[in-house]
Amino acid sequence: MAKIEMRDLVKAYGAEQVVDGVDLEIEDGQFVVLLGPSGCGKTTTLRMVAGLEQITRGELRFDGRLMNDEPPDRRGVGMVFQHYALYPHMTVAANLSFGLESRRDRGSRRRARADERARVLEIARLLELDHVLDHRPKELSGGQRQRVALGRALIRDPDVFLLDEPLSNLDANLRDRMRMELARLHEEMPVTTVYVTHDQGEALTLADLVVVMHEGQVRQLGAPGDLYEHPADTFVAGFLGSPGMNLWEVRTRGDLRAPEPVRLPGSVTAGRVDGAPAVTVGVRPEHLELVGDGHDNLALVECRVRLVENLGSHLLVHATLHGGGEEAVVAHLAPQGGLRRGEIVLLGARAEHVHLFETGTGRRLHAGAARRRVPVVA
Amino acid sequence: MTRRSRVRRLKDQLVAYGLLTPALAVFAVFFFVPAAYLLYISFFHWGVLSSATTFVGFENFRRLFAQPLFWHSLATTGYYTLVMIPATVLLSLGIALVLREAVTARRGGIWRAAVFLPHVTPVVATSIIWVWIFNPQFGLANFVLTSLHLPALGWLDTTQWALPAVMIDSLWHSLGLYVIIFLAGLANVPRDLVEVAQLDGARRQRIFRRIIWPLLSPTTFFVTILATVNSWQAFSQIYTMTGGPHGGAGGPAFSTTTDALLIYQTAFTYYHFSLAAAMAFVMFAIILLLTAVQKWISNRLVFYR
Repeated sequence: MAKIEMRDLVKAYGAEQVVDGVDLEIEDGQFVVLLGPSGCGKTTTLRMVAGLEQITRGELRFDGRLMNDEPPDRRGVGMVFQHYALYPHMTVAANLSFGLESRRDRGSRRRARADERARVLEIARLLELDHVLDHRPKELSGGQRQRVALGRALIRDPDVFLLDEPLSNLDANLRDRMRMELARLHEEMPVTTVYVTHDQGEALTLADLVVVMHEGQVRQLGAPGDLYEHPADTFVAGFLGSPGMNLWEVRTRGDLRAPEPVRLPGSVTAGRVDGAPAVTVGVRPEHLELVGDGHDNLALVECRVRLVENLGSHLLVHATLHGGGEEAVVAHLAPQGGLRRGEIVLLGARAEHVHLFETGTGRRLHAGAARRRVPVVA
Repeated sequence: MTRRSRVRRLKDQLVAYGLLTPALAVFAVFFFVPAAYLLYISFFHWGVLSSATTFVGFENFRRLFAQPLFWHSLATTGYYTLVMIPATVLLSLGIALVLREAVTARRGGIWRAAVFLPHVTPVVATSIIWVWIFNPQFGLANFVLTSLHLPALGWLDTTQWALPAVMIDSLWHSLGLYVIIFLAGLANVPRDLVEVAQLDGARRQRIFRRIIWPLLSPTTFFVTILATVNSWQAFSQIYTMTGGPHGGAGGPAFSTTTDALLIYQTAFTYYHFSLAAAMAFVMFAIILLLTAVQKWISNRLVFYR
């Protein structure tokens, strides 16, 4: 088990920086998920931790020990690859024991072999693979292959457990099961874990700490709930949630109390951006509801319905802002009849569900803090 | 099966055979028909200038097996093939590994082209250059040997070194092809398997022995078959280096008289066509047998993903 520290970690290929100054501290036994769209640098970061990718700049430490130039096998990491990377010509047992044999001392070979066999059996039982030990990978189901990959990474008792999109090759049902399996496994063997995924469902359910990455940088880190409730910028707001948060750029003419075409209640605007010409308003789809007029304590948007999808438990309503720049509005509404295409409706959200972001930088506007950042336009 | 589906199937088959016909026709005219004709000839006494042909049964084969030179040529070809196969596999795999590891992606193309280039040169022309290289008095080969304080060799003038000289030329000429095949095979070994093995603590040697070599076995098998067939049929370089059109090819003292060369000489120097046909048929049988044996071995050793 180990505590992982990354200090200003950079990976560059020529002039292109794929990972651009990642700072991260992962506590011993923590389950951390690196989350982001493809190409955001999360896998490269993971590979630097594993030692498969040379670190261009910055520091990587395990328990305070500098790891930058340690070869992969001396870092005590176990890794599960996206496509499992099982040795196709070896049986499950041989796949599991390959790492143990590679590290075996020259002496006491017979004893080592017996110990290894016992360890393979132990791991196989834990992962319910004991009945397929002499099968080759191609004879296994997707879930079994996945478990062999897990077992191979865990059999050496790694200090750090790395997973690169381990569930992305499984079908939806199996993915849910394996996700629970992983959670159980981490509970039984609380190894420091770094898990890379672009699936927010996996991130939010598995992680102690979620690190959202974009364009090689950490955009926000925090507990899953925190990120969802208080996204630090418009990228995180739009990326988390399915569909992501509605983001509307709103003209203020320097006065937040009279924005268009979104009306904000006084409790939202109090003490915030007085001078900015525009502001980005964010509301999650599930926080919108159909309302009548005259709600002073709600944020209100008038919009035109474009498409209504009935998903059984709720309606997914696609609309555009009415009177604004035709910006998209997505709302989860309770099932109800009578919503027609082209109809103009009023949607409202409670003040505590309204997020304000600085237009341009996309950063979250905190009450009070905003005045310093936003230039005042006369 | 209904009538309609039967008709459709027949139609499909007609289309398939129709599409196959052009290639099949070329193959038939240049391979199947001559091969069958060869077997046919081998049962006759076949005059070249006269049209007198008499059926002699297995007489040609009997004469062939009674001929010491025939057995000698088989032994020579066997020796040649037995050296060429491991040399081809080891050298081309070695070069492929070096090319893959030591050459940057940007310059890789130049190196691959350089290694492949000998293979596309005309055998006869380059073999003449090799004759100069192996010249005992002014040749480059002996210059290199003496520079290294090694004794100069008689090369093509000696029974002991003539065939090895031919082997060196053949290797130089053919390696490029095999290197490219091995490079393709190596590119097919998934990179993450090597990375996983690194994480598993395996050193280079162990990664090669336990991961790359087994996964490369279909390629190695293919190269072995190709090298066997090509070696057993080796002709042009031997003919050019040991005598050429001026006669005397296969010398000195028959030390480079391989199967293919003997067939050629029997047919076109001594005009014993039916005897040569019998030899060619025996050669075909030997290559078929060798390939079958290799296939049998490969079923136990080769891993197909």
